[in-house]
Amino acid sequence: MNTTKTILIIEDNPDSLNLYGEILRSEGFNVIGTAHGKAALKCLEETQVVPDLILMDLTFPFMTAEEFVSGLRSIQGCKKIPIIVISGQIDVENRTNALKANDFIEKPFDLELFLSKVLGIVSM
Amino acid sequence: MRDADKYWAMQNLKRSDLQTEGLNLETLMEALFYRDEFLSIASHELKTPLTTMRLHTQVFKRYSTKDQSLPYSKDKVDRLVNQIDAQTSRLIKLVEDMLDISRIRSGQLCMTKDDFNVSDLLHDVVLKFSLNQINRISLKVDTNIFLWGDCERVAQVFHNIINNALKFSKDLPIEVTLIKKKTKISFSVKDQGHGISQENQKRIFHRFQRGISASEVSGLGLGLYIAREIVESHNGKISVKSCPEKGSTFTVDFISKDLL
Ligand SMILES: Nc1ncnc2c1ncn2[C@@H]1O[C@H](COP(=O)(O)OP(=O)(O)OP(=O)(O)O)[C@@H](O)[C@H]1O
Ligand SMILES: [Mg+2]
Repeated sequence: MNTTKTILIIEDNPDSLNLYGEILRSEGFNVIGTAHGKAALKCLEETQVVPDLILMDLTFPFMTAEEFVSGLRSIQGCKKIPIIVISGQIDVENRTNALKANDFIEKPFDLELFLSKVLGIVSM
Repeated sequence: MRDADKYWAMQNLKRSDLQTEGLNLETLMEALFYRDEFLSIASHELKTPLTTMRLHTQVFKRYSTKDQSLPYSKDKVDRLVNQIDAQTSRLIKLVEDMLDISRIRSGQLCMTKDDFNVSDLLHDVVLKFSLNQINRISLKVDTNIFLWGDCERVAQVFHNIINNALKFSKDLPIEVTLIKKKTKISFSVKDQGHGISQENQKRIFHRFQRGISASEVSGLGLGLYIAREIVESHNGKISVKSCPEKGSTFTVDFISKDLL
């Protein structure tokens, strides 16, 4: 039985993307990293992987966060994937609500908060 | 409008704007809008490197309190340390730029002028970029051109204009030239990036003005404003010619000392 949970990350800053990935992998998660919403949608459609959680930035090239979420929700099997928004923007809470995302993590956050929010949604 | 907002709005206007346009509400509101946009960009720009640095140190701390050695190879530790170092430099630059802005506003951007070799200076500036970036730069520099000015400030101008060309033209090559014709010393940087619209060409030399959203390319929109101040205090001129989608050429003209 394979119980490894998968987390998809969308983050256009490569340093941050690597870092989040490393931390989550060392917690035993399977991690898929993408630089923007368009790449994430493509990956979900092509691999048909259904992640257990999506961690996403609010700003990335090519499409808005809103466009990404509506694209995501139209993919078979992805209608209910929980989303946590990670951002340093002042209006992160309002935007999280507008996106109907489950939670948000405001930059600059610490390791404990990051892990507790993630584990709160996908406890192993 | 609150008094503090008015104060800020007025700070954002240039005296010449006030004289030519009159102080109207619309100009004030626009200034306020850009200030808010700047604050949101600045907080984003500061928070990202802070978060990475904080997480890195906490990962280290986690292992050290558990009395475990880090499960990282030497290579990886090197990479992490370099990353933290790069983020620190980025934060320092942001702070320095903001300090320059406040110095300009209070008329305290001091220049220590001297006769120096700008050709050598330009070579030094270029060598400070990363190897990948240097490979994209084609350099045409007349040797032994001398200029009367503050060499660190002039280096700052060169750095920002070259850096902009590199960051706004993806991986394409750029041309950097420095030539002296009679009494004019011209520094110019040509790129093949996405260019700048007519409307934005006027805005970008002002404070906090960016022609592109923060999510696409990072920066505070201070570089060209500081550059213009420095160039003007050397009696020089900074200008741009650009065609959207084709690229841009930024030029700085200084007058050689013989004529000053
Ligand atoms: N070579 C270029 N090609 C296209 N756009 C440019 C170029 N140089 C500058 N710009 C535009 O002018 C704006 C202002 O440039 P400026 O150097 O002042 O700020 P920045 O590079 O965004 O941030 P900072 O220099 O403060 O880190 C940029 O945000 C960009 O939109
Ligand atoms: Mg710049």
